[in-house]
Amino acid sequence: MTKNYLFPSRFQKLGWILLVPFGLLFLYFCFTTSGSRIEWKVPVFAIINNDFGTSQECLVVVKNDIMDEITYIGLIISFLFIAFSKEKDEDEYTSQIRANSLVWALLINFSLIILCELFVFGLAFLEILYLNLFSILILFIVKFKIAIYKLKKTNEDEE
Amino acid sequence: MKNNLKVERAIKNITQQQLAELVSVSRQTINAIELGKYVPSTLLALKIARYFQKKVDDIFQLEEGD
Repeated sequence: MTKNYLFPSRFQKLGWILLVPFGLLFLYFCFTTSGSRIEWKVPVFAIINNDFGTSQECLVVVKNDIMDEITYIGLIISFLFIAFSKEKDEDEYTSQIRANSLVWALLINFSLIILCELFVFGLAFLEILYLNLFSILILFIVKFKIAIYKLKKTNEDEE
Repeated sequence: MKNNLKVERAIKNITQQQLAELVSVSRQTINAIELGKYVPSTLLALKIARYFQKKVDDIFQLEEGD
């Protein structure tokens, strides 16, 4: 059998469970501004640190609010678990659907980026790139789950 | 690629579900193969042929344009 890089199927449920708190944290970040939200400042080791208004430093320990790091890492891990865990009845056809969905998601995602590149400017474009951290995974999950749902609905079993 | 999986299945009188379990794939995969929506891997084609005790090209045939 050929090797695949998928997580065991129980990770999918774990991904959905993790998505709840980290999704809520992400929404909290979207609807609050820095200064008005809860902070958790701790000393962190930085390979590169380049805050607004300061010069770039390398390999230093700096104080940083790690709430956003926790949110982003948590969210990415949740999406990875949901996207890349085996289905309960994973077989070669599922793998083909998965591969096709991934190509579709990448094409749509980068088409959207090209559109934004052409029509969105300034800080708004940076925010779009932020969302882009997750958009490939979200597009893939939606496309793949719909394809699997449609597949399971085909019930014309002629005996 | 076309196939006569459905006919072979009818001769043996087994359901898609039973065949699926015998070759360890899901029933939907067998259904997709029968409908010509999915071309199975060599491995799966060999397993199916072995179950029916036939050669692979007795069950799966190339079509024009393949």
